[in-house]
Amino acid sequence: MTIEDELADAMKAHVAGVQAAPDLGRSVRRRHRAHVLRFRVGGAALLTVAVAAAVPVVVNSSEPATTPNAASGQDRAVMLPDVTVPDVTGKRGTEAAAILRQAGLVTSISGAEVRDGRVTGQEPAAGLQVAHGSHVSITIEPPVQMPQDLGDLGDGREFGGIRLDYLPEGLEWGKWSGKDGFGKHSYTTSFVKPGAEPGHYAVQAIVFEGEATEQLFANFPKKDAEAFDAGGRQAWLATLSEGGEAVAHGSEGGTLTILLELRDGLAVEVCVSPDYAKEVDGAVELKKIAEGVRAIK
Amino acid sequence: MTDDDEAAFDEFLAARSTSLLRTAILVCGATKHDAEDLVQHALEKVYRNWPRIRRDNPEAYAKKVVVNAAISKARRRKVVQEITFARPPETAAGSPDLDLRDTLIGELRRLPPRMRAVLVLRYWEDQSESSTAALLGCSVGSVKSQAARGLARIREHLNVAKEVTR
Repeated sequence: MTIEDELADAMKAHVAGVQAAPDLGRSVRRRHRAHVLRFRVGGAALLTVAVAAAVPVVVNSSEPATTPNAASGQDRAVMLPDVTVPDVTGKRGTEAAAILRQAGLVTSISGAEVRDGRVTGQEPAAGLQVAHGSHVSITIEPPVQMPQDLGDLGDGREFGGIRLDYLPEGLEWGKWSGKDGFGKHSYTTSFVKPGAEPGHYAVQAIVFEGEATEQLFANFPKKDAEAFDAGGRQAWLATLSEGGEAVAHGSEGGTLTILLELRDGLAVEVCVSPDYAKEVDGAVELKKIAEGVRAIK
Repeated sequence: MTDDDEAAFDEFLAARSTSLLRTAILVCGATKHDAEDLVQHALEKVYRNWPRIRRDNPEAYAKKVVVNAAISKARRRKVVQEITFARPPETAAGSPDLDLRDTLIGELRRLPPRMRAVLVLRYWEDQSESSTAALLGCSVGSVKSQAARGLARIREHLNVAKEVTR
C-alpha cells in the first residue's frame, strides 16, 4: 500500500462511526435566529433589516419546538425578554455554568476535555442580546505546556542568532521557545503583556535559517505585501488571513505580519496578534521592530 | 425563504451533513463535538444564503465554508498548534504499540491546517487537484506542493518512528 492509500484508509476508519445529529437542521435554524438577533444590537438602522430578514424564520412553522425550557421561535422573538450574555471567560467551568444559569441561559461545553479548568472562550460573546434559554457554549482548556527548546532566554530578545533591539513598551518575554516548528533551523518565541492568558501572545518572532527560509519565501505572499526598507534591509508587510493569504488590513481574523530578509539564508518573520493589534498601531510597531532586528552571529 | 426552500434545505442536510461533518473532523483535527459546532456555524451561513445558492451547487459552497472554517479553527489555536509539531520527531511519532492508523491520524493532526486540508480533500474525499484548489482558493501548484510536502512529512515521521522502536 502506498502512503496515500494508507492515509486514506486511516482517515476513512477515523470518521467511519461519525454521523450528523438528526436535529442538525433545528440547531442550524436556532443559530440563524441567534445571528439575526445579534444584529439587533447593531443599532436602529440595522434593526429594520434584521426584522425583515427574521420574519420568514419566525413565522416558519416547520420547525418543531421540542427543546425543554425553550418556547417556539415565535414566542421567543415576541414574548420572552432577551437577556444579555455575561462574560464568563477566565472563570472556572462550574462557576461559569452557575453564572449563566442565573442569567437564564443554558451552558453547553465544547472542547475535548471536560475538566473544571478555566473558560477560555464563549459563544455567543459577552454583551450580546440573546433569547432567554439560549445555549451558551463555553470552551474549557487545560493548561498549555509551553516548550522550552532554547532554554532560559532572559528577556527573550536574543535567540536563533538575532537580537530584537526594539519591542513595543510594556511587553515581556512569553517564557517559551520552539525550535524547528517552521522547518529545519527555525526558532521562535513570543512576547506578551504581563499576565496574559496561556497560549496568547502580543508579538511573535520566528527566525528562519538556511533551508527553513525557502519554505518561508515560498509561502509568504510577497506580491500582495507592502515592500519597504527596514534599516537598509528588504522587508514586506501584509495582513495574512488564517489561510496565509494577504488580505486587507484590519480584516477580521487577519494577522499583521512582517517578513524581513537579514541576509541570504537568514530571515525573520514577526507578527502582531489580532488582539494586540487593536491596542497599538500594529503596522507602525512592526516596522520599528523590523528596523531593530540585527544578526548577532 | 419559502416552504419549498426550507424543505430543500432539509433534504440537503439529510444528504450531505454527515459527509461535511466527517470532512470537518479530519480537517480541523478536533473532536466530533468541536467539529459539530463548526459545521453548524458553517451551515448557518449556508442557510442564510440558501435561496440564492440552492440551485447553484450548494454542496460545493457548503464544503468551501466548512473547510475554510476548519482551517481557521485549527489556526486560531496557532501558538499551541505550532508547538505540537515543533516537538522532535522521536517524541512526535507516538508510542510504538499504537496502531498504524492511529499513528497516521496523529501525524495528520500535526501538519499545518492548510496542508492537512489538502490531504483530506485529495485522499479522503478523492477530489481532483483542481477542485481541491478551487475549494481552498489557491493554485493547483500550491495543492500539488502542499500534498507532496504533507505526505513527505508523514512518511518521514513514520520512518523515524520505526527506527526508534526497532
